[in-house]
Amino acid sequence: MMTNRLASPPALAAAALALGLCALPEASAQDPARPVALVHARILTMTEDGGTIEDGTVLIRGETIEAVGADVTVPPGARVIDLHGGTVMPGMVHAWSTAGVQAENGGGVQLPANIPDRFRRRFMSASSGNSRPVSTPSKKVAESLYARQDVYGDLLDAGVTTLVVRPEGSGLPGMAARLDPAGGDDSLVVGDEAYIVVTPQNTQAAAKALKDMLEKGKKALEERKKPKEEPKKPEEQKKPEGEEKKDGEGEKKPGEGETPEPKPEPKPDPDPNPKPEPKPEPKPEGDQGGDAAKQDPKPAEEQKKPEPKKDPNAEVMADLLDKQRRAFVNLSTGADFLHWQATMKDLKDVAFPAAIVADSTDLRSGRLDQVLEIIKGFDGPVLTDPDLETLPDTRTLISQPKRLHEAGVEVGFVLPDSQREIEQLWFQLMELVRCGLPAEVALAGITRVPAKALGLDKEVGSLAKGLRADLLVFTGDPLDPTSTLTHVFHGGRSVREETDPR
Amino acid sequence: MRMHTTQRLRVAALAAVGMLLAGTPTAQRPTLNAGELRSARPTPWVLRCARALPIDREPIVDAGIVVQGARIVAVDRFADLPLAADTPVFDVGERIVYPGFVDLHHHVSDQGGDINDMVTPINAELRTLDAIRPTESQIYDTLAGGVTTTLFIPGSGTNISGFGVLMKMAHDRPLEELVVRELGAMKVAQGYNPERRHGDLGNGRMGMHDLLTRAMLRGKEYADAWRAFAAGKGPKPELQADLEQLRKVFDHEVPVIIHTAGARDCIATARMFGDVFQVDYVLSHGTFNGHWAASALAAKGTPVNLGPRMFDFDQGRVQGIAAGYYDVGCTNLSINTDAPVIAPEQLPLQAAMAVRLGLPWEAGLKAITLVPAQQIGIADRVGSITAGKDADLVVGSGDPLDPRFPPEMVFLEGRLAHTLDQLR
Amino acid sequence: MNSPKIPGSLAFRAVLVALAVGCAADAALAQRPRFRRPDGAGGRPQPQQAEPEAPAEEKKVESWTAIRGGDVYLGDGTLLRRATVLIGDDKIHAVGHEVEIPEDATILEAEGKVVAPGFCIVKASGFGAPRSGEDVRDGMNPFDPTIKMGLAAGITSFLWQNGSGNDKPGGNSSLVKLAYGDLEGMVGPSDSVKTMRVPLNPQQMKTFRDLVKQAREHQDAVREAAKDDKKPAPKPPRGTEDILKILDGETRLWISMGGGSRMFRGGGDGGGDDTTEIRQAMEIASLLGRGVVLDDPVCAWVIADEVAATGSMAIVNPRNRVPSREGFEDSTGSNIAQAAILHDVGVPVAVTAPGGRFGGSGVGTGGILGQDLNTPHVDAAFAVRGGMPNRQALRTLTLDAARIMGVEARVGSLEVGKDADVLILDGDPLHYKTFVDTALVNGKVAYVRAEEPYYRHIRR
Repeated sequence: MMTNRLASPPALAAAALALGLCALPEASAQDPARPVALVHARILTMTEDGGTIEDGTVLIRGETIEAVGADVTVPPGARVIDLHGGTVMPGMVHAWSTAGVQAENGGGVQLPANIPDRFRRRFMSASSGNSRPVSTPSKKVAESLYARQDVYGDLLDAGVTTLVVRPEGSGLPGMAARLDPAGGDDSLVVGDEAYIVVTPQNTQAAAKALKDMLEKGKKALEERKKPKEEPKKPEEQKKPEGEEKKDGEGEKKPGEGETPEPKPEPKPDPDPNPKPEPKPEPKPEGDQGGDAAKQDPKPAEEQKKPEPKKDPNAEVMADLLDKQRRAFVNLSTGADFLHWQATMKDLKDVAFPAAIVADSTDLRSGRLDQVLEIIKGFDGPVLTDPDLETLPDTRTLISQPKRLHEAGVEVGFVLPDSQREIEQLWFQLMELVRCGLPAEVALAGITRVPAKALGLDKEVGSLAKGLRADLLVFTGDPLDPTSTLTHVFHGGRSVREETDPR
Repeated sequence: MRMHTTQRLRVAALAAVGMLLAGTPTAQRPTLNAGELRSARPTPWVLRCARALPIDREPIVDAGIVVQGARIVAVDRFADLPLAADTPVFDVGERIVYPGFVDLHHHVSDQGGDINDMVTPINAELRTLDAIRPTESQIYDTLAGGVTTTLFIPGSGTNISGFGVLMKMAHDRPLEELVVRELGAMKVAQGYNPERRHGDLGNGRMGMHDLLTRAMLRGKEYADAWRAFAAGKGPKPELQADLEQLRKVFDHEVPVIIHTAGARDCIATARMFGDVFQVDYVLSHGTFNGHWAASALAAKGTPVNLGPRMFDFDQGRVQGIAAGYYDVGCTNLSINTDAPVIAPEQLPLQAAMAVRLGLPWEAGLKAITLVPAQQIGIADRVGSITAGKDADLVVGSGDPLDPRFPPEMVFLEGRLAHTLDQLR
Repeated sequence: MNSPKIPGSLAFRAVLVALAVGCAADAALAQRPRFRRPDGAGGRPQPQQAEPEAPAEEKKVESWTAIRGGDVYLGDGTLLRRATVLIGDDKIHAVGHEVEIPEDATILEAEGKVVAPGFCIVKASGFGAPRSGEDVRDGMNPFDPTIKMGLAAGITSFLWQNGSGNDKPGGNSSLVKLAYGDLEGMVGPSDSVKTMRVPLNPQQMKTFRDLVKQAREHQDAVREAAKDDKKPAPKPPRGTEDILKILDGETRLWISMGGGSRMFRGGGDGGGDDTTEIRQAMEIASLLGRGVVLDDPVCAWVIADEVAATGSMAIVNPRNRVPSREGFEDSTGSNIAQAAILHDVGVPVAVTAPGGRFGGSGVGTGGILGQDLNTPHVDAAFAVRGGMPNRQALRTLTLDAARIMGVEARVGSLEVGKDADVLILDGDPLHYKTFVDTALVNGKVAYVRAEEPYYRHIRR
């Protein structure tokens, strides 16, 4: 009897709309100059300290939120939507998606969206060669994406306003891409270097591959930091470039075409340096063609004595160790964490910004709460499945998210990749809340926390002045099974609007 | 493990054992040495020991067991036995004497393997009697483990796989000496093994139930017809060779032993053979979660012959299956090896493992002596040290269930059939 | 009933005793396998036994644990009644009656209990260790539930093996400790064992001889080079690395007979006789000047004194059966007394679980009990059945097993300086009813019966 929250006919229309395949139903509403005011809203700001505004207004202008509060003045000419006490919350941030990613080694198999995640994972690991680790951290998943896939519109319609997709595979399969779920052929990829995926599967081969690559990164970094005997202008220019490229999808190869940055990206790093370098367009170089990349035409002044060939993969790892990039480390079991700890100990002095993704469960290889001390040693949040688990050989249900939260770990969630499963996600969150996870933590886990993991929390993930106007409107509390998602705003644009079915 | 065949060695060793074991002579009573017990003695003699475990009564300290020929004549405290002055004694000193063990699920008296004929699912006309090899070394191994009586049954490859033979482990003796009852039990198999996976009827529970029911109905009608004829109430039935053995089941001459595991099939077995056809039966295996059905089986009075699995791994618990049955009152419980699954001489270890997981020790010992004898209908012959029963006796130095204490001597129907020095 | 009056009393022992009191059973004994005691240590290589290494410097102990008041089996055959085992961090610090317990020690009361070294299993798989691979650590699952089940069975360490040698020593091995949840703590010394098999054909034997010769020459060259510190140490000749380790006593050499085709040997022309193979293994031992480890011999009991003469050891399953050849019953086939006979002539023996479909080298959950590593003590009990003295038989799972694995300096007994792998048992270690109440690995409590689902429901 649960409300079908999403799959209503207007939703489909909205999905189509999101893809820009049909005319806008209400042109005036989408006039970018015209502000939108959501009034009489219960606002879940999801900011670190913000909390809830019981009867307030969210004012949207253009792509951003202009004001949030109980006493916001609605400017004349604004489109006013009276929510009659409905709830507004930030759009969902999906930081660990494989939506629309073609399985590299799986013979192009694309599984139907309605296959549950756990089977999908099993299938993928069986078919896509996950067991053989790869060492291609410089590979970009963005290269394998294309825009005209229903799944992006579906996810947006379900409320996923920030979508980061990652390459699959074990070891170091490459870099994730931030997508605009409403984007077309030219605008799908917002950034193609969102983070480096590290999947140190609990196998000897993966551990070895990872160690080898990090060693190479260390060497490359040492090489870089060596004082140059013959300081050259271009070299010097190049270095700061590298160091200052701080944003989520900071381009590391300098000196290419001067395409203006489409939108400002906040930094993932505490480093406050502004980014001086415009972002070049992602280059369609061969994936493993690091060498090709290096041999790409360079500005004439850079032509100098032939530099020793650099391994682009090692360079990417060096960037990571130099804290210019971030990694998402896929550690799902207690054993994974112990191995990670051992690997890091073997490597000595290796540290880099990392979020943890625990996206599967094998309780026979240990639970997260058995390795809390190690988890606490990481700075970043832990993204995990929003599931309750049954302890092996028992009938005991445990909530790992709750245990992590109670241990002081910031918990976020790994979202599913289909509209239907996103619908289920709300009920999973309700279960977690029923089992003791605070509701605020559950909702932050799909908004602010993954945004923070991505280094995008100054842009998305909460509702505050200056942030992107990504927001969801529900008829009631999002964790009330009877409430319905009525609106999705994505960068200020309304992409889903339906009337309250009640 | 084999017998030493060197006669010289055997005699010499036995002489030594005998001298040692004789200890202080019992008053002026004549003593026997082991060599003199190699064949049954027509006149009474007494086996004296520090402790006897008769099973059907409390242990007896400083016991005497009077044996004549193949039978036990009396058992009591040595001092209380009414013995003639010239009754010779064989004194085993500080040792313990217990009855030979009984294993109702045993497949190795044919050199192994020759126990399944699987062309059709119903084979009530077959019998393992035809497969026995008296020289099979595993018969000796079984005896050396203190197991003197076994039910050698066909495998579980078909729903009715034939009739097992009830045997004594009289290795290398004429067949007649081995066979206690030619039709020891009819072997039925329900669940798992007999499933006919190539598309015949009997692929699943329903089909097997149907096959068995039809076979049992035919057998019952046939038996009824003969009974009617015998009572002068009907015509002489036409002889049906394939039902001749099955007929004896309905005449309560031969019990049925049913390979069954899992709670569902255990209940199905008790219902079919107990409630519906009302024949004498023993539920064998009863493993996996069979113990979940234990109270229901206890209420029906189902005899259970448990093994070779001894625990059910349930929610992390190593649940002793025997204890699972026993604790809810299903005490008509025997234990098997399903040899060769467990080596036949390890029957007492099977009981030891049941005790490890919570079965009371006394119940464990009974489960390999008196209970199986009762279940298969030969408690008048074996299963306890009782006047009138066969003199199948084991001499050891400690707990019969403890693998550290092997049978040092085994008497089979009054004759010393095994001593430890014969064992390798 | 459970505490027998005459432990280990067997008829063939009775024969011996009878002989000693002057009975004429010479004929019987002449036919039996000869099992003379070794003529003292003089001139005969003793099976290897390293002492625990003294720590380089006295480390300050950070945490103390005292197991107090139990009957303590040291693992070498000694029993101390009502004694204390004091553990400093991860090592045994003191054992005895007069041990002073530091004030801040965690006390584990063992009054009325039995304390024993954790069982060392020479042949096992699972317990979180990978099936194969070069690096045991990187493939380990320290949270594998079978680790807890192994601890419940008293197992605290086993030898992980990857691959095996053929006509010369090979294969990797590592001691794996059942330190649940502690990845680093699970990995013990590596390559303490190399394996090979016999029979070698004459060509293979010649190659092996040559390798040993080269290795010895290399040892001489190294000694020579050591006299002159300017000279760099010479590199070992190719293929001699493992042999050098064996010559140096760092590594034990396990030799299997005929590649494990036991059924074939039993049923075929071999007639259950592997004395030829064993003698070749002894020849290899003589060549190396080091005892080797006979891996699952059938007929070592026939030539036990020859095995003893080389300082070798043996891995035995007392329950395994190989029929003898007709007419040669006293010199072929298996013998349940093999472990006892070898032990009597001074050959250290380790026991394994039976092989076969229902036996095994792991902790099964299928329901068969008493045949696999859920009950390693049952295998030692079968050694007693074959005539090994009860108390000595515990060595087959402790000190002698550790010697066979070449890790006796670390584990296998409650000696000062060894790893604190300790069991608190609720009875005689070899009794079938005995359970592990508490198991410590590396000084840390790794298993408590009352806290795990496996056996806590069983009350006596």
